[in-house]
Amino acid sequence: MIKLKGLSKFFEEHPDIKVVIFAGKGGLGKTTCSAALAYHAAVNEGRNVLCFSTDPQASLSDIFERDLFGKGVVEVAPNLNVVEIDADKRIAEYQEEIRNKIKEMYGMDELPPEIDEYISSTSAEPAMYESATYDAMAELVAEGSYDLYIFDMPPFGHGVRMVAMAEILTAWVEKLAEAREEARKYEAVAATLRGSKVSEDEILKELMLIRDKMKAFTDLLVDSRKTAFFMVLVPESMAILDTERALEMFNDLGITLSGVVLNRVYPRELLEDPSIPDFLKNKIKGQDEYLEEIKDKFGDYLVAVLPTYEREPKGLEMLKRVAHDLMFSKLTI
Amino acid sequence: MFKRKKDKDKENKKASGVKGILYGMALHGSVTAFLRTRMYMEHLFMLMTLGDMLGFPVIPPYYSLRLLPYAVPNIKSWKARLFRERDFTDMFTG
Amino acid sequence: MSDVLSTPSLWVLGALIAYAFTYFVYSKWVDEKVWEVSADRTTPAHMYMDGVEFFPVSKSVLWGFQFKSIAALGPILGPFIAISYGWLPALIWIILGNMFIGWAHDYSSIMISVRNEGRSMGPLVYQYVGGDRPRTILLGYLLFYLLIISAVFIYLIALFWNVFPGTFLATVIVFIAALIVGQMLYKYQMNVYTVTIFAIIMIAIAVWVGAAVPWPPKDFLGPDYTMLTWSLILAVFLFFAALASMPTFITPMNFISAFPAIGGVIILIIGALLTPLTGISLGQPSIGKFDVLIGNIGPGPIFPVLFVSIACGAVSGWHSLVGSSTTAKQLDVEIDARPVGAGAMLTEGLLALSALAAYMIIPAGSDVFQKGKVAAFVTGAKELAAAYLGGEAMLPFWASFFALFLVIYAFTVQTLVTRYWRLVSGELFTGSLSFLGNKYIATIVGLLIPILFALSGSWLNLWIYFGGSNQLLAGLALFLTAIIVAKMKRPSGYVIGPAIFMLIVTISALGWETYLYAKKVMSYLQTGDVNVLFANPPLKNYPLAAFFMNVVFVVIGIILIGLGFLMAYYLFKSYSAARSEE
Repeated sequence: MIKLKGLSKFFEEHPDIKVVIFAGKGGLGKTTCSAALAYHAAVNEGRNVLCFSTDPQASLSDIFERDLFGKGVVEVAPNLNVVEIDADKRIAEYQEEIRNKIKEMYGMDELPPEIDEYISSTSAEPAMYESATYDAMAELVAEGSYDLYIFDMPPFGHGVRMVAMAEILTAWVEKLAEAREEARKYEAVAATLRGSKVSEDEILKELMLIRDKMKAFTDLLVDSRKTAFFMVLVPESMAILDTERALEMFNDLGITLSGVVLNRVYPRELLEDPSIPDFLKNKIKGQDEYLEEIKDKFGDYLVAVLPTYEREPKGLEMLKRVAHDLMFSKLTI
Repeated sequence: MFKRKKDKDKENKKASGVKGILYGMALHGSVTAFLRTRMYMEHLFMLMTLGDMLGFPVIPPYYSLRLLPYAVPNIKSWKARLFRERDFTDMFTG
Repeated sequence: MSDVLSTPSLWVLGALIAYAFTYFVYSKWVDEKVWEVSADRTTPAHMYMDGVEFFPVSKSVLWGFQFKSIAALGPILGPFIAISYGWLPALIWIILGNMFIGWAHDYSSIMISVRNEGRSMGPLVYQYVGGDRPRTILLGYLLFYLLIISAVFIYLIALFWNVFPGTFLATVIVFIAALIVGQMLYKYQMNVYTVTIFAIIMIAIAVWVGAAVPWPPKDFLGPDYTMLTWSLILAVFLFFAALASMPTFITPMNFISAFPAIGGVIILIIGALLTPLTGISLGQPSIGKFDVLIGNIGPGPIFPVLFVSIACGAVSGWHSLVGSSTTAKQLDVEIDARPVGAGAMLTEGLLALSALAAYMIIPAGSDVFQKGKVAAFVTGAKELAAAYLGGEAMLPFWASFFALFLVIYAFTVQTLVTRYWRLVSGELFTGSLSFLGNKYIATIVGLLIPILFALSGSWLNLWIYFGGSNQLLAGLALFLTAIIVAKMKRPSGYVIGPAIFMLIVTISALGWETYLYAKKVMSYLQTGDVNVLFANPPLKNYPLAAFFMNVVFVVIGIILIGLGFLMAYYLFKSYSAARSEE
């Protein structure tokens, strides 16, 4: 039997945390945990919080019982700000922005068809979706108007792939900028010889902007004093396997996993309740095997255990309960 | 057709007469060579950024798109030259 | 009147009139009737304008560029061989060659490219002569051609350094000046005029030092090893020049060399025209011997040697590479092709005539002609210059100037060739041979093979191989033009005649040279005497190596002739097909 410390203890020990990220596969309760933590920090502690989600399935809209999807930042309670990004819409807007920029730059009424087609074709790329989300996150953090940022990471690649991608991209931009500088020298000499002036390299400028933005965000994400990563896990074999894999990924990327939240655990006390149907009793007994495995594999990482609630965690009242469980983790396993 | 608005007025000043001839003898070859080197670098750069336009996936297009507006004037000639036969006699710069 | 006739000026003037006729009447006719040029037809420079490779350039600039690129040592040193037959045959060939072949070749090389989307020689051969095989043959041919050019120029520079003491120091000063100019232009992006003034001052200093400090003396390491040493020193310079980034050395070197080059050419032309006033009269006979073999190493019979000796002065294949690879991509309007292509070539003809004048005034029987002494040009040129610029006191200065002029000319061309060799190697050698494409290895190979070549033969022989392969390339370009013109259903007579003529003389010349080497090989096999071979010291001390190199030259001659024949065969096939198309 172990008793867990709960997230409150973690935050006591890590007072500088500005960003909290919940990672893990879809449908394990990441969104619930994000919302609960946001609720706690905003309502109980009075911090100015932004909770961000990209997961269109288990959505913040459901939890807060109002339509947030693609509505920008919405304050659902004092200090509790929520944003549920509509990546598709964001991509469409972004593409339109690029189209307009080209038209304006070259004084064109219509884009050349091949360029127009190229821009449209990018929506089909899965990577586009990831990048758009990541960019939105980076932008919000860069603005810096909140005390705490909580990200419900999208399910692809446990969300951490973004960090890996950011590192690749930063290196890539770095290399490009170098090549660009070198090319510019040639242009500069040609311009001197011709007696003309070399124009500023706007591509290089743009590249630097992209790099700076990404670097700032990635640096923040890998800084374990400022950013906390939590994995959400349920007592099922697939989820355990997946968490193991994710843990490896974290190690490879040099990211410290702050903790594992164990969700949907049936309290053992239920076994003593005679009104419980048999199939549920079997399920509770079957859970033990996984709990042992989890203790064995992630023991040091476990920070909180959440029970399976009798109804879906929806609405602020219910959220308050989840938040309490998350912060103080009453359950023992 | 792809001239930047602000660049439209400062079109090639064409040197002529004796000055032009001297420039042609002393410098034009070098300028051409520089610009060509620049062009090869630009090609490489375009391939690295907009490679997916030709079917080489390189980076998430999200960031390519951001660079696209600046590359617009080069895209046509880039594609044309990439698919055009390059040859050892093209490398000769006189 | 008889005074004027005994100076070179009237001949130069007569040639000028012939060139004027060519330019204003003949080339105009071809321009209008064959190519039907129009100022309205869009040129590749506009059609594919990208500001880097394709962009329109004014005709003055393009003329300057074209002239600078085509005027190398050919017209300056070539007459040295030709004058063995008396100056009259050389003069006639320079005039007629330019009138009927030279300009037509240069102009057409630009036009065929302009009418074909700015394609250069390789793709044009691919398109019009039947695909990959002829193009590969052309590539193979070019590789040998580059090696031979390199051999000639490396040998010449080493020779200039040796026979004009002080020139080496002057050259080094120019190199240093080029490095400084590079920094001024590249790093500090200084104003071009300031840099120009600096460059001219540095050249004046270099020339002065060259005249004042004649060191190291001729053959300072003895007759056996001096040339080898100079060649290797040169190879080191070329190695760095070919590998350095363009802005550090090549560009500033081109820039700085333009001034003595332009200046030297103008000084020569004016000097030749002024001879009636300056009182310099002809020294050489108008007609000499027609089958010259001075001892072992004469150039050979007037046919075909005369026609390949004045390389670029009458017609040159090098020009088709320049015209189709760069000029055609930057031609603003079609009507500029004539002033640029024909204009630059006819001007080069004038340069060849002026250089010829420098040889014509050397007193008969002077020993500067003995045994292939390249000093001949400098001897004549300094007289032409000093006669109206500074008088006798300036003779050493002008001697130093023209010696430096030769070295710098040869060096800039050679850097270009070595670099081009490296680029072509990089492109060509793939797979298991890719180590040959490595830029260091390619550069070393592109320098060492030519040095071996240079050391093994006399420069007369090398020069004829060079002239032969160069003019053969011109013949091929003319033939290619004939095919394209025939396909356009236009009269191709103005190019097909010269094409066939050039193929006949060049293949004969290469054949003659190959025969000479083969004869040497045979007589060595009979006598075992190394002295019968073409071999310079120190190769002479190693009979087997000398023998081997002579065999190599036989093989190269056969290869060049073979490749030339093959190309001619393909071209002829395509030409007949084009003609019979209805």
